Amino acid sequence: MTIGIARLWVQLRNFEGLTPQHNNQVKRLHYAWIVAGITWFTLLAAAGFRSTPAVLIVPLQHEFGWSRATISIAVSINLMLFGLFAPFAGGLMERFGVRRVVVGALLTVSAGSGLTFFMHQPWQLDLLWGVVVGVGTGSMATVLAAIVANRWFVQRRGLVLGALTAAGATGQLIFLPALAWLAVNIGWRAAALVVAGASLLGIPLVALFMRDRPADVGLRAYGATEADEPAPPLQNPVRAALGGLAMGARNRNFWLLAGSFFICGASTNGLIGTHLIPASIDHGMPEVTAASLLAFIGIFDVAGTMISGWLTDRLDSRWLLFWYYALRGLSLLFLPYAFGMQYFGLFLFIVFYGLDWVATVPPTVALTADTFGRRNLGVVYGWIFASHQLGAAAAAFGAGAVRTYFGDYQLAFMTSGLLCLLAAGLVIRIGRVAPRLEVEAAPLPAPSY
Amino acid sequence: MVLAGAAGAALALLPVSVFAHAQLIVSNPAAGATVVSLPATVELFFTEPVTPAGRGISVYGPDGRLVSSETARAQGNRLSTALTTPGIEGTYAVLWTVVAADTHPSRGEFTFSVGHSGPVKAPGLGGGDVGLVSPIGLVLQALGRWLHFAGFALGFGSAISALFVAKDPRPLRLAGAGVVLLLVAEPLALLAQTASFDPSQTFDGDALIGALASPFGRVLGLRVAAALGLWAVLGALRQAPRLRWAIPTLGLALGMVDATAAHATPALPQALGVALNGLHVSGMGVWLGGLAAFVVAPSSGFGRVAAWSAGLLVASGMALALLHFANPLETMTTAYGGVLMVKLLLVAVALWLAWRGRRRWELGALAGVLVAAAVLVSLPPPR
Repeated sequence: MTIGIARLWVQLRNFEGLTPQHNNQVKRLHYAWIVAGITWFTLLAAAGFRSTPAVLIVPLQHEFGWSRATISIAVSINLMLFGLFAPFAGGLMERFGVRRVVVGALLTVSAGSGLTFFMHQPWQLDLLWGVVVGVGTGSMATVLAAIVANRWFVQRRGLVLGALTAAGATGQLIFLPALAWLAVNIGWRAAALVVAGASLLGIPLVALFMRDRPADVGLRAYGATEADEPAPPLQNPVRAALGGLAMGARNRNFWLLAGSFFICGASTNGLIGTHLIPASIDHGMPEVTAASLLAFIGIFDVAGTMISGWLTDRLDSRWLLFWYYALRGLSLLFLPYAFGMQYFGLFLFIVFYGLDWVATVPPTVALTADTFGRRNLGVVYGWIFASHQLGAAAAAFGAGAVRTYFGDYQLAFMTSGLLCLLAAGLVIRIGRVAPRLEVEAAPLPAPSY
Repeated sequence: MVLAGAAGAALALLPVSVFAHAQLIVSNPAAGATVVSLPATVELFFTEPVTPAGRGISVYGPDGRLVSSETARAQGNRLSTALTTPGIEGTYAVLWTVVAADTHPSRGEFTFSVGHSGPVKAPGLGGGDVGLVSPIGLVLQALGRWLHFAGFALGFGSAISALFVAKDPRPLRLAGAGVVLLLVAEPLALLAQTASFDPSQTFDGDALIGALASPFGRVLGLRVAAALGLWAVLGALRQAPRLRWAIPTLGLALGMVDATAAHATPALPQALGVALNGLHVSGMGVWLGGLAAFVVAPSSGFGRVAAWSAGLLVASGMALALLHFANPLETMTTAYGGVLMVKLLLVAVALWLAWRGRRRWELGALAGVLVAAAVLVSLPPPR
């Protein structure tokens, strides 16, 4: 039925245009943009769901008397699964289709979040917010962005990837003030139910409009010159994921990309995403203002990632990453001084850091595609993203430990700044790969991803 | 050009004041004094602003128990701590450990008595201090500085020689080794810092974290940043030869960072003193690193560069030496003076070898000069 609606849409467009067939791709809104839009909202929401536990920490502590360490375990599991499940999600999408996997993921998140209403034991928090929501949101993580951009776009791929990735990262930040307000003024259960409800609302939207491949609506990928649909490979998702890891592990570029992305995760989600609020409170800032700082980073992040996607289409990705990491490292080294300069220093940091927040993703995806081919991008990038989340989990925990033991975040900020300089050195050593035949030179570039 | 801006920013972030090792001028109660009753606080006044290392001040009562509060409070040159228990009569021991603004550690102890003097039961510092720190701390400090200077010369000097003078990529391998030396030197410098206060606490978590929280930690961070930055630029050179200009820029920035952690010259305005120290370090890097590059891959242009950098090195070194001595006798009576004389002798030998064109021997002599320099920076100058 839903496929029928989409076909109807395409026919309607054709009819309205009253133009010869060959003009279609020039004039009309290509269905790829609809898919990209749906994906954009899905990623934004999934990221928002993932970040919710951060604002629940204090209310849960108040209601149940659980220690922060106990609650943090759930956040750690959540962050880790958000990344580690991504390669398997890539395999699942290959096997069962994007639409089914996303609908399933939304159901999972809704169930996990809704069931916390009845929670009264710490292990239930670990299971629901940690495992269930982690797996659910992990299935809609940036692997989805990579797959949609590569299946549906030949032209503008970098731009689309930038927009989708920005949604995934920004969603983790911009809902925080609202969720925090809900949790503080109505109760943490309200925040959890809002997440469950929003997740349910997304299901019909995705079911109606999401399509697995351009061929499903009788189209080619945006900008593709001739139709050439490869037979969809039927592979065991777990084997596909592990095969991707095996393929990556033999390649030097994989380790350089995974290593630098580990540092990326550590310096964004793990360190700033988790600890900027408490660090700002340490320096005498009200909690609402502190949460808004992160939201502002999220807004600047949209611009930064879009620009990065645009640049990725034009410049050498290694150089982009080199400068992103170098500048991020310098701004982190500057952060301890920024706190001393009151609002001006922090404002400077937020603009600078926000623009750079996930700008690293489009060039990293592009380099992965260049090295491993678009056909393998989903599973290999999944593992590189898993490394990102491992870094995030490590930094979230490490910075907390530094704060507890040290009474100050300076050491954590300086260390991650230095790590970013290390990442700049790593990415510039990525070998230039000869563009793969199937990517560049093939006459019919119809991506399977 | 972005890197130049970064270097400027790094400079702007450095600690504002620059001084040499902190030395105790006077205390209240005074060392060796006998007072009627235990005062509420113990105050120490230093030659320069200090931050406490660890407790900063530890006061032990006649029964050997700690009677001072958790951490000493620093206000400029003054360091004070509150005494917690109402005093019993007898002799109290005061142990102090501080870090000066130039990151140099120093420590000391003295006693005072309440009512009458008696036996001291404090866990002492274990005497035999050289230059206000424990002997093992001094050795580690010197070793860390030697590795750092050698890494600076190989990392930046060899690369500059290879890229700007010889136009020969072979010595760039030395630059990679220099990065490794620079990175190895910093953990050693951190251990030297904790060992300088108390060798038994060298690996103590609180002591290490305290050292990182002091100005020393920030300088250490900037040094590691410079080393990692050099490594990143070395990797980028193959694709962007123009980025080679980042190497002298970064090297100069690191030279200036080192200068703020070297002995300041109280006779000069601060900026001038740092610039003089920075020039001295940079001259050393160009001469020594260039020489090492020459040994690996001889080139005709090196002689002129060596002459200029050696001249700069000797001139700035002379100026610094003159500024650190109040009268010529101090060259004989202080440890600092003695080491300086050895260093001058080695420099003369190196220059003579350079004149004779014995490059490998010259390199050996300069490595010896570097040892003397590393010890010199670790010792308190006469002024």
